[in-house]
Amino acid sequence: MRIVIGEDSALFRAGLRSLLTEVGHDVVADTPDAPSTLAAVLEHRPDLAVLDIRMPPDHADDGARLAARIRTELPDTGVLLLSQHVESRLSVDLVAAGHFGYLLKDRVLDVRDFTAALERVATGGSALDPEVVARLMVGGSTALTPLTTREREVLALMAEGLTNSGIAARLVLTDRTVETHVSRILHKLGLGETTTNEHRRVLAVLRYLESHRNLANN
Amino acid sequence: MPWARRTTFLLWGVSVALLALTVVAVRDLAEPAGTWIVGGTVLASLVPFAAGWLATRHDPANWVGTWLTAAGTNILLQMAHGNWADALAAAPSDLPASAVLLNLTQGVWMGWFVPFAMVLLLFPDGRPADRRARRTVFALLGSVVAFNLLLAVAPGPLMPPLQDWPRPFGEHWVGYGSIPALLVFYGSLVMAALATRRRYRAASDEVARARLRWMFLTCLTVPATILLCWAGYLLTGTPVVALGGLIAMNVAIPAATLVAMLRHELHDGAQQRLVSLGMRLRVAQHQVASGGSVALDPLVDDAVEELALAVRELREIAHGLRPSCLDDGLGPALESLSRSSALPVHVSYSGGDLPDHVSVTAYYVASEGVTNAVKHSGARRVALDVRRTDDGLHVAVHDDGAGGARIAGGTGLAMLHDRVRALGGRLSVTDRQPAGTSLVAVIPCGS
Repeated sequence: MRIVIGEDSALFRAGLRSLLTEVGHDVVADTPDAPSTLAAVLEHRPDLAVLDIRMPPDHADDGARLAARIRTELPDTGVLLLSQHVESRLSVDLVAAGHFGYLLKDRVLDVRDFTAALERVATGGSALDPEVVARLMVGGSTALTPLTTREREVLALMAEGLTNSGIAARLVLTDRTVETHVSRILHKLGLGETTTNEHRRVLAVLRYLESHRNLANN
Repeated sequence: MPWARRTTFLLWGVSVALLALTVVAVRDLAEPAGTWIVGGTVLASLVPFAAGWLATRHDPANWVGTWLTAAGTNILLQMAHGNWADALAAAPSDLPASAVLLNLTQGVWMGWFVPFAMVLLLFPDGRPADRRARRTVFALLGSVVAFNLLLAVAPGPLMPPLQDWPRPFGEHWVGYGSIPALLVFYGSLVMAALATRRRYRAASDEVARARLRWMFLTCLTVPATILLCWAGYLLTGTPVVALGGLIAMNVAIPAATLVAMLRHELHDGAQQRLVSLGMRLRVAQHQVASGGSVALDPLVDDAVEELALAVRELREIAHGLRPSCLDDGLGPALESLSRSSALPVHVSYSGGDLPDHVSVTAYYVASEGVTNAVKHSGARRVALDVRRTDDGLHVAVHDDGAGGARIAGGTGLAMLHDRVRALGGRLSVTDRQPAGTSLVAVIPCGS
């Protein structure tokens, strides 16, 4: 997979570059700020851009803005945002178009999950940090009361962007069992038939959790 | 591009032009020593220039970097002005010069002080700390303009070596108004140093205080240099004694700014450092697993060294670090606090925009209150009410638990009490009827 890295910490950039190269990816460019990252992405047209959320020039949400820009210029390029901590606002719109991931920086150390997330994002899927999902689930907990503990676990993994077989591997279940759980969850939450496309499924779950989080708070 | 950074670039252009002017004047003087002086001065200006650039790169929208750069530009300005004046005195017709300009720039020496006073007033976030500091900024810049305008019409000749130049604006008694303008200028310099002291004393935690400590120590160089200047005039007839003060100012303040900014950078670094180390270990593991070999000794040495650095950084920030969730303001931070709580927390927030130290303390009060309610009181509901009133920010945490909480030595509440008191606020814990506890803090918000 051809990857461009945009990250202002030289230490982290070099580390990520050697890690990705080591597991067999081709890092075609690594750049320290938003404008040069955009230029590199437009020039190399990579499968995936891995971006730090906070970058020069403004050290604010430069990476997120860059992600939106890449989305309009090159809709088929995957964008994975990395962040030091969970940002309090998550843009559901960015997730909506697929090809998008959002992970905490330390997830990089879990190499197998991390590379799986990279591949999902590059091929049009989603990857959301478990921490983000957990916060959404806590907020929406009253709305989730009809679900069993197992079903909640499955829901969290769905929201992270995992496929049925990914969830099966993580929870050590058979694919069939997971399928049953998923359809029961979607039925209980009234989300309808969204199992065909992994990405739509994530979106449905997110929209659901978001709306109930707001209800729970107000 | 932010205006602060654009202005920095503009100042570089101005500096190059000033250097060119100096070279023209020195060549006309035909003095070989001049080359050395010019070289030495340019070297001296590198300190504020470098500090200015590092600060601007660190935070392009922050005017602190711009004013540090202006301090470098000032050194070149003083050199250009001095050499040009000397060359004009030696051979008045050789160089182009304007009597109007020479009359209007008699206060050019103020350039030694203005940039550093501005750095003191704006450090560390690029904004004046309070209303008094904001007024000082206006008084400082206004007095510079007034002094130069009034001196242009003051009775008497220009200062040597320009004493023979004409006075195109005439000589009026109004010109004596330059003396009060000068006093306002001196007053502003003292106020700038005091602003740093106020900021230091109001710093809510050790980290913020450590950031400001060096600045606090160096801020005295600004009024001290003025005093040296006067002492020099009175005792020796020249301001040469002040040179020591000028050098101290030009080295100490840029250095203190950088120390403060780099410390901050280090804090951001601890997490990056640890994750990067993790990645290196993963790469080595992968190489070994796929049949390659890894030089173990250097890898372990590097790893341990990185760990030691990270430990040092973490130790520095262990006390009272500003939680990163406050980046978007207190309101969103409290929302996220309520989301991650094990109990239902009802949040009502109407605090508006708050100074950083107030929102940090308010956040700690809220967080400690909610934690206590969950852990000790057996409460079923918690209400968090934060609103702004005339006497400051009210932070109230109410629960319906067992009650009986007290502010006693060594507890979390006692530390919270100290924290709130340090900002001039008060904290109280009372039992509610029929059941529960109220934790209420009032934190003054300044202007």
